[in-house]
Amino acid sequence: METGIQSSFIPQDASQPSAGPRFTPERGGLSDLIVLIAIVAFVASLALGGAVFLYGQYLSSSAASKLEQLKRAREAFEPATVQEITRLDDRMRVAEDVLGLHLAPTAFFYALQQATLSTVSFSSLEMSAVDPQRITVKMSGVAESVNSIALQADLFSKNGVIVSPIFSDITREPDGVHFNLTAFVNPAAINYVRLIAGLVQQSQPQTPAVPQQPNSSEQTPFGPPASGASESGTTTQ
Amino acid sequence: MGKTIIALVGLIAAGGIFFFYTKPTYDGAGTVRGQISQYDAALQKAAELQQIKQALLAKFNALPETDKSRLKKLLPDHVDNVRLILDLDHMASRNQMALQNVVVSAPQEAEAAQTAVGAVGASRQKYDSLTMKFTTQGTYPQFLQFVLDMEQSLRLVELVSLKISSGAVGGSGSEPLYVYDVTIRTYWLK
Repeated sequence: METGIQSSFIPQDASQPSAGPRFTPERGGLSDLIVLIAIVAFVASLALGGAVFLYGQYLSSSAASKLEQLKRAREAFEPATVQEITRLDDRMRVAEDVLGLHLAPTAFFYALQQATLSTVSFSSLEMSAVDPQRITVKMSGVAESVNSIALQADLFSKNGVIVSPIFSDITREPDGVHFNLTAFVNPAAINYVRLIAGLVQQSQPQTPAVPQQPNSSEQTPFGPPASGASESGTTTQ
Repeated sequence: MGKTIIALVGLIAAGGIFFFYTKPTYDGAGTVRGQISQYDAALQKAAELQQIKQALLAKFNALPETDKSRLKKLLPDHVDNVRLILDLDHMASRNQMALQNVVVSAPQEAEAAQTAVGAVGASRQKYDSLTMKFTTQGTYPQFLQFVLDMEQSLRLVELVSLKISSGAVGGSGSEPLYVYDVTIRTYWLK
């Protein structure tokens, strides 16, 4: 029997799903996630940009600081002092090179003096040392006899200073036998540095390779031949 | 709808910041990093050079001033040919001789002008030379002493050519006189 009294205060319609807009947890969650991702990406990008900006500032200041250090280092070099040292270095190197080629012509003259027979004399000499490695000598002279010239040629060939002597234009004249001589000079034999080094090694000042004082009493290879001198004798007895 | 717009704006802004600021700035920083590494290398080199300079300076200061001035006399900074002529004249007069017909020329320039190779070689050389010709007269012993003085002189003088010919008979006693045509070469540092 129906009494007409409701047994429950919950309306019967409320238990039925309404036909209005329904809540969908899946769609709402995805859009929120996308928004979250977008915000995170934006913030991260902003942070990264800021970090890169700060890093750039740091690098710029670091570069400026190192440039300043380099300028100070350049000033510390004292270019004037460096130039002075470089100049001295150049001077020492060039001096070594030039001294290495320096010739001692007196060594040649003393060798000539020692090797010239007393029956032979020279009247002229032309020496060319334009190329220090190829020193040529041309001389003209007078000998007492042809035998003197032959002996002289033999002496020169044994001499270490005068190389490849060639006697030519040998003509007999009233004052003796005239001749011309062409020869080379051994550049090593008259090299100043070698002679000094030899002098130091020998440590014998009484027999110097480079003469200190020429003895004026010695007979010279120039001038008239000594009359009546033996052919075996040289100008320096 | 609003969330979608916010998401889109956020993503576009993030991409924009990254691609239009962060990446170009970072790439630019790479160039600055390269510069810094070059500066570092230069600073390291400068420190090494500073050490070398100090060592050289110590050697330079250890060299006596007299030796430095002798080196400068041996190889002067400029040709100073007048001083050379005076020195040679002094040497000659010490041996009772006199310099005559002094002619000065610069062979290095003349030789260099002949060929391009010569010109290049001459420009690389750290020294230059000058040739001087003169005539003198005297006895053979006097000349020998004069040549000895020249070869031992501190100012480097190189004999280039020599011509000895008979001169007038006279001089001291019966010593024959000779005429000497001498060509010498001297050097200086460029």
